[in-house]
Amino acid sequence: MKKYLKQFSTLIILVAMVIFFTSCAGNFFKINNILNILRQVSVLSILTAGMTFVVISGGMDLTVGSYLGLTGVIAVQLMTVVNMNIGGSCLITMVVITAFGFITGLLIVSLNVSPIVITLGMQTVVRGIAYIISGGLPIYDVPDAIVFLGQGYVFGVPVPVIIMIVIVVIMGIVLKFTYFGRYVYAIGGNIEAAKLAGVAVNKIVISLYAISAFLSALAGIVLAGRLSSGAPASGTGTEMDVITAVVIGGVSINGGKGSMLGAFVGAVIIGVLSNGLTIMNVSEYYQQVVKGLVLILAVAFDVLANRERVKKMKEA
Amino acid sequence: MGVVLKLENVTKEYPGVLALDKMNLEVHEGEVHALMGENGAGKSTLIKVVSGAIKPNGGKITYLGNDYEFMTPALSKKLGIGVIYQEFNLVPELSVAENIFLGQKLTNGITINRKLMNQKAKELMGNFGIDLDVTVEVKTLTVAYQQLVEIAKTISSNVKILIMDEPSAPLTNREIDAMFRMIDQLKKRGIAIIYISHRMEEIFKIADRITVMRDGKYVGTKGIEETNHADLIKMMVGRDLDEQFPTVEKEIGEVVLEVQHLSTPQLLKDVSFTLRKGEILGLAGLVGAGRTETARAIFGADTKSEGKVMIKGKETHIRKPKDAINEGVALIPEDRKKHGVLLDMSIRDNVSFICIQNISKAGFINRKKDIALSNKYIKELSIKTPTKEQLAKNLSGGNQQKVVLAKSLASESDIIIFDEPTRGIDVGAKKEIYMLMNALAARGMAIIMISSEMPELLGMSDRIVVMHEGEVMGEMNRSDATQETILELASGIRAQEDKTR
Repeated sequence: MKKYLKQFSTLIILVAMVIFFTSCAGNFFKINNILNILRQVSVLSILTAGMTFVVISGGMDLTVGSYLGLTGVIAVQLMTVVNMNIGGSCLITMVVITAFGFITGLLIVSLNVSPIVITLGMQTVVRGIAYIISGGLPIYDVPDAIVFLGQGYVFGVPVPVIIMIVIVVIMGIVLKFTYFGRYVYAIGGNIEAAKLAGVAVNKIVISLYAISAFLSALAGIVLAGRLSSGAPASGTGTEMDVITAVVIGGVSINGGKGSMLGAFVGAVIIGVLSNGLTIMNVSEYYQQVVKGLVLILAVAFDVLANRERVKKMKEA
Repeated sequence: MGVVLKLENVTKEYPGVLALDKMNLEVHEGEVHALMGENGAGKSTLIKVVSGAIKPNGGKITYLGNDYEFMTPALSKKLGIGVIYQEFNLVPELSVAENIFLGQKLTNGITINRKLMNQKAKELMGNFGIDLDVTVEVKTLTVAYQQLVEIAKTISSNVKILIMDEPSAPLTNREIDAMFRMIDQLKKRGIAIIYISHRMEEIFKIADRITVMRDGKYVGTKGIEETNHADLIKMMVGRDLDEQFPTVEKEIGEVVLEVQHLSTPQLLKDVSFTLRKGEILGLAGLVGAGRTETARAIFGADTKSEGKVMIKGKETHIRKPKDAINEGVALIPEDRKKHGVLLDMSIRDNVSFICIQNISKAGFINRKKDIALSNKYIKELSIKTPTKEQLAKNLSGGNQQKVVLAKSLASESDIIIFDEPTRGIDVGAKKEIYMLMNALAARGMAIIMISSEMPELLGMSDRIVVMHEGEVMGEMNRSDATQETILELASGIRAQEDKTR
């Protein structure tokens, strides 16, 4: 029961927000708007799935926003300028972006430097490359198939939402039911003990940054479809939203704790917040303030709940 | 002689553990008051209460006639309570004098008055009959001298009561004598000393009175002339010593592990020994003797520069822990919380952690096998817990140790290296661990036990290998081993004599 308190606290926040917005704006709690919100958080959620693994392992990946930009640029350039077929373009793009993640992980374990520093550097490098390749300009004539990935519907459900659900479910299962997932928790919780238990810690850490990059590439293609363009600047600052979602979702920033469901709820909270506030005609500027406050609130909630628990244990 | 410090009914409770249970202590001016008790008896907690590092949940502290509910670090320092921990608080890059007066303002207005500082430091050391160049950097000194500097530093700030936590642990016999002379000087000045040590002969050499504690409780206080070794052990353990170390019928078989000329770049030099099936081999030595390093090198956690490890007659190429695990070697590390147990994970997650790949198919953990495994070991090792889903951090030290052991047993190891298996474990649980070790040996496993506790070494080992500064000094059977011979070898005395001969 106590174990679920953390996920509970995020769910409580989500439910409270839904109730609040429903009472303020009548058209908030409509099936169309809910699908709309899910569509809006689809890219964020796909990124959050990768970031959850990284953060639980005690790491941090600031490159994901730049990957979105570079993905759009490479994929769309290959399709339009090089005239390559869509499948091949997507495949090459994903391989390239995943390679960047692999290199990032390799640098982190071989230099033994804080992941924040390495990924901060890579973020700038990747963004720079996106500008170089594109010459700084977005390309608009995105093929219909890609637009479909970002804007299409299947049986009334937006395609990006379907992609998001598939990814979140797969990643959730991997985290919870495979030994790989258990190793990830152990690396974040006690890296020395994991090493002494024979876990190939370095290989796993490298793979986590590669997975995060791979998912970023997938999200980048969806984003290009949604925007109908491959723009070098797209996704700027998204990494902060992703980290916010993960933390709101109850994943410990120190590693070792958290769940995929929690992180997903965190991402949805961010979506609900901006959607609800927009419906209520709250300006983008105020939305930022609210988003930040919710993050702090969620963490405070968690800390206080923990304190209460420790107190109770002491009394027992 | 006046009472300096008096603790009455001091209680400290942690979740699930009563670290101090109505503990009493009375320390007089100018006495050396030994505080004794097994590991986990609550000595360190008591010290922390006095130094203000932790707040007690109840009880009264009376210091020089004033009552306090609790201390704070700043308050205890102001009141003249000094503590010397096992780990020194010295800055290696600063000189002796700078270290002694660190935090005190000996200035000419703005700049440090180095001349005055050096002179005062020289005086201070001279008072204790220690002739030492106070301008050299502390890192160039031996551990023993660093210890003396630490003491000088602590008492330079007008200390009335000095707490020493196992001060002799890293020292050789000769160095201990130098420290005792310093303690005598302090006594003459009326400073009270609380002296914590496991070494009986030291206690009888230096202490005036002894307070014994067990499981956080006050057992009794005796004058040194009213007691003897056996009496103290009985007070500490609550029963006679032989009872603490159960024996078991077992057969010692063929050699399963052979360490040959093992060296590491840092410390180990030409370490060789053998281990037999069913045997418990004690590895003795002082802090820094290289015992943990030997274990880590065998296990592949540290790199070897030279030497071979033969397992069951075959040469191995262990380069990382995974290789050692595959060879059936397990390491139960010294620092349980840092290296052993996964605190934020459940007992179930911990138990199956090492062998998790063996109970997984296509990456997916077989939940049935996972549950069966933890149930099996909770029962077999009698891990006390309401459920297998309990997080490891909520278990007592003894039960955490059992979880670490279960983790290794589940991975089907048959050579187990225990590094300080009972550190920080209360007396009752200790005996359980001993019984488990015996049972494992009787089942045909081979055990290396690194231990700093003499009774444990003498009570549990079939054979004892003694190390000193990275080298093996000697080896003896249990029947030939005495506390004295081990200590002599451990402090390198016999080796030095051999060299002069």
